[in-house]
Amino acid sequence: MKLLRYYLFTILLSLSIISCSTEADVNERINTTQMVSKSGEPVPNTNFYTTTELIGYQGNCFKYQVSLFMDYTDPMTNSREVLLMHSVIMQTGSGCETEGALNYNGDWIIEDLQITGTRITEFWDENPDEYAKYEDERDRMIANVQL
Amino acid sequence: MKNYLFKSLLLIAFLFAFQPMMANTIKHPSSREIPTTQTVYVVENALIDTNGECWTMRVNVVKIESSGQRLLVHTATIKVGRDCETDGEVISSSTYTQNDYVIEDERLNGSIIDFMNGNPSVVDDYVIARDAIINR
Repeated sequence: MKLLRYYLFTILLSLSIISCSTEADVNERINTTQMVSKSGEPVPNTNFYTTTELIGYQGNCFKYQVSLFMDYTDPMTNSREVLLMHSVIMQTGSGCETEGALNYNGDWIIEDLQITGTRITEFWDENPDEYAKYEDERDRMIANVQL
Repeated sequence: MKNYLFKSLLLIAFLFAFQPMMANTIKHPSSREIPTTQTVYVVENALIDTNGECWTMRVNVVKIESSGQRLLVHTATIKVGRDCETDGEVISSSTYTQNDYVIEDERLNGSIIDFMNGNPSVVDDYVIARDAIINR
């Protein structure tokens, strides 16, 4: 009987200590859900943005991937969606081997995946502001290369 | 009564002393500590299209060099989900019942499938990136 009381006492004491230590965890979880639900706030309808990712370089010739994303608010769910619209491999600089590549304003388009069935050059022709954003991204990427 | 309290506290102290050891065994894969000397790869997925329960994504594998320079080493287009009517090479992701089909591989540095077979942690990261898109 004494032993039983001892075990009961131990279990109760352990439980009370554990419940105190996990309280912080629970609070953290509540905070993250609140942050997630904030993303449902109204946002401007459609935006485009461009990213570049270096593949490699040889001398002054840089090979990279250009990605053009569209983010928009889904009218059905009112949530923000991001879609990849264009994915292209390009080269720029001097001394590039560009056989069979398409020249566009001095840069070379090695391969256009044509995800949406259209070329990125068509999109840039119609959206000069987005082309300017690409040029900024390209220049920033080259300026930041850690040789 | 004093005796109970003392014995209980001793037992609890003993259990707590071993707690960090026990907690370490159930670490989430994304919280792995990466040694600085090892080459680090990052997997970045981008949604292209959804069609019912079929997701088309572009998978990028980016190598981060010790200088901090990012280099794209693999890029491929994949399809995943039960509504996908497709064929192609399959990524060996054991955590999902559906097949992940590589429908186009740019082969920047050989095949992405071969690379993933040699780097199981990249497959794990791919699964996390893929499920983040599917579940969003």
